[in-house]
Amino acid sequence: MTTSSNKVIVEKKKTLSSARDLHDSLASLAMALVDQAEKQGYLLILDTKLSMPFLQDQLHRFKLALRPDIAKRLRIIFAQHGDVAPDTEDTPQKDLEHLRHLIADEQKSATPLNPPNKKDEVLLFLIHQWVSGKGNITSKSLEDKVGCNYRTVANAIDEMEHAVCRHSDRSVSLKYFPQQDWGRLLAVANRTRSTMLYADVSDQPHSYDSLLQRLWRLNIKYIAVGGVLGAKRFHDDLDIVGAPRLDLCIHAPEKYVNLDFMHALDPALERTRDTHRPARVALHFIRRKDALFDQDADGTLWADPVECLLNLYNARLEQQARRFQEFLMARAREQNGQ
Amino acid sequence: MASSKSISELISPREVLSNIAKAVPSDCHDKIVVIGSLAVGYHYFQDQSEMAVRTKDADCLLFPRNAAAQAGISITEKLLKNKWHFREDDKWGQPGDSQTPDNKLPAVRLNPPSRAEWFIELLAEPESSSDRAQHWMRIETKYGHFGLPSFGFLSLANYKPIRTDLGIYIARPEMMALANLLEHPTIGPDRMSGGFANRLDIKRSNKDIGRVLAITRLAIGLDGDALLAWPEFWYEALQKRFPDEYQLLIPQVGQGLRALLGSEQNLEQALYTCTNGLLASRPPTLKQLYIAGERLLVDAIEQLEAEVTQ
Repeated sequence: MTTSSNKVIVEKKKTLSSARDLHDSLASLAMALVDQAEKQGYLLILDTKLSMPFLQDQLHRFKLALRPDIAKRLRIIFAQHGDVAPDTEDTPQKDLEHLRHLIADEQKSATPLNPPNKKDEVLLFLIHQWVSGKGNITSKSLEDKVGCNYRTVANAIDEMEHAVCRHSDRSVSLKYFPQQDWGRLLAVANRTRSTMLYADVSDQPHSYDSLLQRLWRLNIKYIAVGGVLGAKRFHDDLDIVGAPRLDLCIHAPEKYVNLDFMHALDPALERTRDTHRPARVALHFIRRKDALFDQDADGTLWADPVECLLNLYNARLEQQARRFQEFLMARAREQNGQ
Repeated sequence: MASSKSISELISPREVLSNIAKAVPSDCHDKIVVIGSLAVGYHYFQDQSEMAVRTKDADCLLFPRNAAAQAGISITEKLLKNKWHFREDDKWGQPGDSQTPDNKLPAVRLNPPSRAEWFIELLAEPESSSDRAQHWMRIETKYGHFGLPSFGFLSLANYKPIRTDLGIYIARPEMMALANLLEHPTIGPDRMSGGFANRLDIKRSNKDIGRVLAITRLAIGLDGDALLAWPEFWYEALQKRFPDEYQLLIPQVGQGLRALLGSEQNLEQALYTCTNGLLASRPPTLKQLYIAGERLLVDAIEQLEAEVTQ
């Protein structure tokens, strides 16, 4: 994300995981500096596993490819413990203050999530592929869609070997619904998926339609509707009247997620850790790279059917969840000619 | 739910408005807008005869400005002729005369015959939107001289008022809320003269912004999305009533409310005025009142502010 003020352009990177990622960010910043000759450009790195010497070396080499007047205005700044890391060379004090504000803002709005279980994401993706009748998928595609390495994909497939069909072109598909692996995933889902519950504290709760309209107006491209409403989109006969809560699925492939939108959605929604308290809204976090959201004609984003199924189990709607699961399995068998 | 009979000093908005409509000359009906908590109560409780509000004054704004004096004279003379009487007041209990300076004239404050729990008060639409100081319009009746006060943001109260089935108008609750918000860009030190429901420490700002929060809760109670329609209406009213100033006024709309929400002491006073006023029948908690304020900011005030910052 790039922010700009009178004197500086800042490219913020919440996570930086590869040299390619770094090169992309530096190129984007350098191009912005071409058009704005008076400004300093900062790549503000909030979190990275790459070492500082490596990053500085990459910056040095990158600068050699740039015009000198642009190269001298390009800097990398690291955030450390909520502040700018000490080694800031000759960065002007005013620019440092601006960067500190950005770091502070980022910290205020960033909510940390549990580390994602990428093997589970591989499982979910394969189930989605099966219930949607989309056929085989290669390991490489799975790596890209989930955002993990080859080993994670291989391990995940090995663990559900019994349900997997391997094809000659190195692609895989499911033979049937992997009930055993699904059961294991469900058993730990509440802990691993960081689902957050929100209760109404106003005594005047907004209707779900109202909350959906508000969400639509906020026009956030990383939130989809799941749960009962999402499941009914696939299976209108689902035996439930109304929705017991609004399930929202947030695409959160990074370590942190910004939940500021909840206040704009409705200030009366307060996070609760009491699972017995009636929740008005549940937030689920989708950690893979491809969220598998589907956008309808009016712009609303919808979660995929497997995510909706998980949401139903999470809401303890066991009977409806089993019915929906049976519906998805029957549809899958029909679509896959099994 | 409390009834008007079970809580003393609570009065029925419909009953009071009905009394006013019957008592004033019928040719003045279309020149009267009832404002204040009675108008709010009538708007939100009219289908619930058991719902009541705690107030003493039935504020009637006379409009348009050029017809206010004549309407004021007709109403005052008819009420006094029909045994309405001056409200007991050591200082303002008698009419003035031609020698009384404008700013010393008594307002028209009259109790209905044999009743002392509420009184009618007449006000006039301000002459100019830019001059928001208090002014008195002299009216000369056969009973003596009176003044019709006008001040502040009263001109918002008669913006597209709602005509009741009684013939007289009531102010739109959202317009009264806007007027109150603009009236208090800060929490001023002034306290309610005479106190409020046995408390002498209540600040006027907390009482008036508290009314805004009460209107907010009542509006949401009827329609959860009611506040979303307010910013467009507010913007239109501010543009029409304050064509030279509206862009400066808009950033001030939320200042007093934000100050109130930032102070538990002020919020507690606002809560007290609500639970002893418009929300007496269903009192909220401090947190619920705070949430009403936050919702007002998110749904209405921030949307209005966005109109001038875009």
